[in-house]
Amino acid sequence: MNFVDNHVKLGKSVMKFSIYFLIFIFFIFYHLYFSGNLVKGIAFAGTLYLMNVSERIGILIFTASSVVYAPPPPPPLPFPEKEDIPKYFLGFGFDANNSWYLWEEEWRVDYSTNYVNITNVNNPEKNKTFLYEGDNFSLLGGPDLKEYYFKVREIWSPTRVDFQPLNKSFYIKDFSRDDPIKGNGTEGTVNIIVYEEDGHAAMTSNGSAIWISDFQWSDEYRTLVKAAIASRVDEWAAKRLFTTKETTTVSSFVSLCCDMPETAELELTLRYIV
Amino acid sequence: MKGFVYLLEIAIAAILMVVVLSTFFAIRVKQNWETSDLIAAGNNILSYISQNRSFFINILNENLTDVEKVKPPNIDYGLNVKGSPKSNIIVGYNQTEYQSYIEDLLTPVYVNGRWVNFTLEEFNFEEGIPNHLDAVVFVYYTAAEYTKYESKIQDYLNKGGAVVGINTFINDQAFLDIFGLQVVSI
Repeated sequence: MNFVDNHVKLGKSVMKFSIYFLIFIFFIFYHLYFSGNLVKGIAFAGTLYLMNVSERIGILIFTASSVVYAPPPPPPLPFPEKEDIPKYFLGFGFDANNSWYLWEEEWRVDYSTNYVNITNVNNPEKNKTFLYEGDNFSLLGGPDLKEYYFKVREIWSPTRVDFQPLNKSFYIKDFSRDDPIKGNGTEGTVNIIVYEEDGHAAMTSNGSAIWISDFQWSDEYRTLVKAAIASRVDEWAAKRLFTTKETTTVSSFVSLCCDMPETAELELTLRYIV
Repeated sequence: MKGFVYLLEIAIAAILMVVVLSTFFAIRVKQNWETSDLIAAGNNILSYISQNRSFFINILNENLTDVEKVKPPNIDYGLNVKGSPKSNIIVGYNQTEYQSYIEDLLTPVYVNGRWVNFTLEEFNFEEGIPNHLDAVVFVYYTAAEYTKYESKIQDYLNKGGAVVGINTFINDQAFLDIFGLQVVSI
């Protein structure tokens, strides 16, 4: 139990992680010789592990994919099923003009018609240079300290560059501002992003009414807002047919790719002009 | 004489039956053909659209020229899309002071080979939220504003509109009701 004190003093997440792993191993061996404490031991170690890894972190889970060499998926946090916001979030990606904010960290973006250089304002070790359209690159140091992969999707010189995340999931830094609030759980209301540590939501949906907590400027939050709107306006009429006469309806599925899976049902309602 | 009248009655009844039955059958046959024809015409149009990616993208751009070209001239139609947002999403706002903030948020997206644009349109809350707006965005709304406009926001939601509210927690019943929220203990 004294390891808890060490956890506070060590300060660095990597060290904390190692200590918890050792605790875990210790309790397994402990169990081999002193059976009976196994459940308590794993529960203790497991709780610390989860608090460490998921601390102040939200996550979006992607359900379908066009994914390239992604690292092993992180432990999933609760996320509503049949929610389209993650799909649009990963499909839309990020557009950067001269600056790109990711996880509330600033990157300078310089580009020509051919390639782009990404410069971390505070940490030159994270710089990426001579990235051509279609190139993949990784950034280390998200809220979970893992490596995330991106693609230079398009260079729209001289106006902007589009980056697309390639992982199946994306960590969202806590932006809930400690709001003591979450979806009420009744039909139609769900938490889109909720933080495990304190149970506070940063984004909720009540059908077509979406609330998102005030956020510090960062491009993932911009993409979240765009994804939220797009996900709620994906059923619409390209042309309305106003008639009291009998009509016939036929439908078919059409799909687009490849930034994200996008399958639409086209429904034609027909009648003869008399 | 009696036999003749009897034969005449049978002849008249037979003629009436033929006329009535033929009328009924004629309508039925015509209706079935119309339905089959419309289904065939509709499937032809959909097949044409699905064979060419640009036709579908044109529809998402609300450009129906391709559909007009292939449809028979004696057919009128309506077209619904489910599962893919249109390329020009009209977003309403009523806070002039946050116009540039919302513009910076909602930059165009290039995805799956097409542009998705967010066109901003200011509206006056006193006249209600216009139905043609696909979504509305409220930035840093106060409790007083949510309370004042709750019924109009709920009306808009009930008609199928989408609402996005960006603000920190407000301990206000209208805000909680619109977004289906509950306060949790710390």
